[in-house]
Amino acid sequence: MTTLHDTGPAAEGQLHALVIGVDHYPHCGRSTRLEPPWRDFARAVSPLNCAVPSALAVVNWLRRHLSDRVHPVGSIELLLSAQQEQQVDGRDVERATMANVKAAFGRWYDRCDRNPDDVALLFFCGHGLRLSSEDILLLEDFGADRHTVFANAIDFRETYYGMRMAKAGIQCFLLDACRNTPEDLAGRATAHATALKHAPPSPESRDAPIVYSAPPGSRAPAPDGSPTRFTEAAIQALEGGSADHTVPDWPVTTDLLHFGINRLLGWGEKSDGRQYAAHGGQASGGTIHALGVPMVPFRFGCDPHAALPYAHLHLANPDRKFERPPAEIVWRGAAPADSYSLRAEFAAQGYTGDPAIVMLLPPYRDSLLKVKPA
Amino acid sequence: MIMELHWGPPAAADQTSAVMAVEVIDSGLRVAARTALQAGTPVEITLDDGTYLIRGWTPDGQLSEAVAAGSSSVALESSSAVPSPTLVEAYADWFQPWHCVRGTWRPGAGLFSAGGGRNLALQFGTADGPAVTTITTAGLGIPDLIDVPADGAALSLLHYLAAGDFRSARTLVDAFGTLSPSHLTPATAIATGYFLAQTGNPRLSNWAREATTVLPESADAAVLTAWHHLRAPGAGLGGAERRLIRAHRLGLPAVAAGMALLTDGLAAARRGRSSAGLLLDEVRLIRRAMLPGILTSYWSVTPNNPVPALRPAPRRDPGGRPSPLAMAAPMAIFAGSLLKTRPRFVIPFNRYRRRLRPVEPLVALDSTARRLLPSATPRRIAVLRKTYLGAASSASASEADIATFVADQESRHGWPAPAGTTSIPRLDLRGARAAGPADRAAVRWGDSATDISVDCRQSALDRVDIAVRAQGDILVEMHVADDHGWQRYLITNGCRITLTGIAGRLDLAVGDVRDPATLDVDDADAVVRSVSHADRPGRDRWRALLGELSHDHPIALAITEGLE
Repeated sequence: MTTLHDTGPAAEGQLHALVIGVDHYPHCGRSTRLEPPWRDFARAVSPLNCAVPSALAVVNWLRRHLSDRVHPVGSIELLLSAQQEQQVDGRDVERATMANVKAAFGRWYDRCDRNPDDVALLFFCGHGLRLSSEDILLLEDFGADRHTVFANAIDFRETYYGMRMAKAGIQCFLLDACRNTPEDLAGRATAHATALKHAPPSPESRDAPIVYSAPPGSRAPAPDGSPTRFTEAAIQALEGGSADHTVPDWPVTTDLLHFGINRLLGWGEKSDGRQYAAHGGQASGGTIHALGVPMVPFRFGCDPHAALPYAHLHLANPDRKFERPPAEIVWRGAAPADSYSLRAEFAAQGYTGDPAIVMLLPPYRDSLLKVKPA
Repeated sequence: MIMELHWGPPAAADQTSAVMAVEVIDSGLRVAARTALQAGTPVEITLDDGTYLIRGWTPDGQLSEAVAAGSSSVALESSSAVPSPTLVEAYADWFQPWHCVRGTWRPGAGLFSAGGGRNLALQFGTADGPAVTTITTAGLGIPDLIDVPADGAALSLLHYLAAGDFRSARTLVDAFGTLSPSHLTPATAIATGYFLAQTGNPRLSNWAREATTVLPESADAAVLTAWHHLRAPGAGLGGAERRLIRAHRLGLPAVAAGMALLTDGLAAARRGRSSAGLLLDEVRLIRRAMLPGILTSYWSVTPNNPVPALRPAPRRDPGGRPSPLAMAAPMAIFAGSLLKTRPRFVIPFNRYRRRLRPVEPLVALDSTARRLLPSATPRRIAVLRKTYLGAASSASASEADIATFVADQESRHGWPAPAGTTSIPRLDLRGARAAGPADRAAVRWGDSATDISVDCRQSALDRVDIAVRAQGDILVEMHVADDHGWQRYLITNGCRITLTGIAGRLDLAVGDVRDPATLDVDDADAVVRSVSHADRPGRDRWRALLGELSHDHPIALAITEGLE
């Protein structure tokens, strides 16, 4: 088993994570043994190269928060499927097959069922699809059995409602997978995928947001060899992009999670072709974790842009000072949330400008400092 | 100091203008004020002297902000655009107006700007991609026909919810000053209901109770109410299932999130081959055809084909949605470039775009369109009549035209009774806003040859009681038309069944007289249905019959299932 971290039961609320990354689909591609109508779909399921890096990025973020004051990470279950065996801290990581995922889910569920103050976090990165308004997540051994094709895929909807039975008062689900319906499977009513937990009859109210990396019917981008944009945005959001500035502790809350991820996904991207996250479930505003003061990413430039190569930019307040020497590109950085003065010094003659007040608040800040020819 | 906040040009202010949630943050990063700011309408707030960041996300996802130090007037401008997905860019390559002439839809731009209450279908699409169809009435204007897209506050709130910006949504809801559907516009009330549902707010309970009375014919309100009952701790699935079925019969929710709730609700409530299970299959198909967006909208086909075509399964595009049959239709397509160079074709189109910006609100009427279309069932036409007449009359449409249109539609929809049955007069239900006497509708029918009499009467807005009298201990087959075709019921002599969720009208036919001893496995489904809808004396009679059958007899099992 690959339980990277487990503190055991605690009186205070903890965060328990189940992280799954699937790059390797050995029963798909050209050599698939599946029969029509699944064959063409299985052939189109190509190996990925971003799911494992994404899952590891999430694990690294979790490991930086083992000692948080609010909801410290109490346990991490990790399953990775890549061409080669994966190791973390010198330990082999279990592959994300259905049997292993079921076992890991069981351990994760048991921890999430201990304390109503706990936070449950599920992260999945890999191939997915949508059939009859249900999201299906493909595991490594998808297609291994040609008679029960979707037996090794997760029925997420049923699993989501099934998690209602767990005591954890806050449950967050981050799904980084495609949500399109393959042409060959479009007419199918259901896939008969496997629920990791069967749902109770009544889906009672709870604080359990779902953030998807793509709207229904859309594909999620898969970069080569690096974490996905969605994963990066999700980590940024958890790191402060979804922090609530109206509360002193800057808590990252469930009702701001999707908002922060989506804004960060689109930050700096052109509207055409940018990625949109979608949300589901229900978010009541519970605290996932608290930060103290979050770092706010920013981009500062000059108006007109022609002044930027000559501008020595300063971002300062009585407690903190940051600066950037003249450069032709905008100043990209991050600073603790606060109120600052942004000013430009021009060593060479040509421009002048007054300082501007800049308040850095999540999820990000863009600002152009107005200057004028001297 | 008093600070006046502006957003958007002053001339744009009207009821359809968007509303933005705005925060005023002081230099200590504390929130000094929150307010809802309608485009074109300044708002004054009182603040201590100091420097403030005024910041808000527009409903379509743009960050608007300004820093003010001692200013009395602040205009919010967008500093960066992170727009939400819109349909305008994707579906504006071409558009095609259609008009309805004697019940047949014909393409043509000439009548597009004509008045007189003509019914128009508008299609938007890409050259090789999907099309979107909506239906309106020329000369009335979209905002007069459906109030969700016309209500800027409601649409803004729905945009915030769709974007997951619950904080801004809460600011808008707070600005409404009430959660009571009685004190809000219908559209705002519905949007508020979705806010309460998506944030798990316990006040959804009060909202649902009131909405049942205030918005009795709103599919959205019905879905939210059903969803609330489904989620209530210890809720009975039967009650939730009935509410979901009733919600479905009221039509499709105008808000896309309502379709998700309807699907998930039916999935939770279904039991075997129950009505919820059957509806779930249909709703899943419909939902699969939906466009992404705030309001319920579809990948479309021609006006002469319903959206979506449920059977046979249409061709699919690579994205998995039904392919647009529009491409096979005899239609003249106007290229998007032509629209730009020949404005005389597009004056109304531009007017809609200017007032409503995205095409999306137009598409909201698609659920109406579905019911307007020729292959819609009588039930759908009945729902259409209520929805369409109610909306159109409020916009001073020509009643004569609408009456002609509805009569035309209905006359082409004979719903033949099953072979071997005898039709009895149709029961036309009275709606909440029906003119005329307040008496509930009733139909009585008798046959002296068989000595059978049927008494069918409306007992509530969407409820009908059917009572049967005959001679002897017999069962009378009653056939009742619903969305799935004719349903067969077996009514015991002297008893009645109660059907709920009936919309518009009820087609009835009397079938055979049956001896209970002749019931066999083919009658099992009808028995389950009949027992579950029977009144107490009727259920007692079925229970008595149970004692005469072996425990594993299919009819015994059916009676037991019905009694549960």
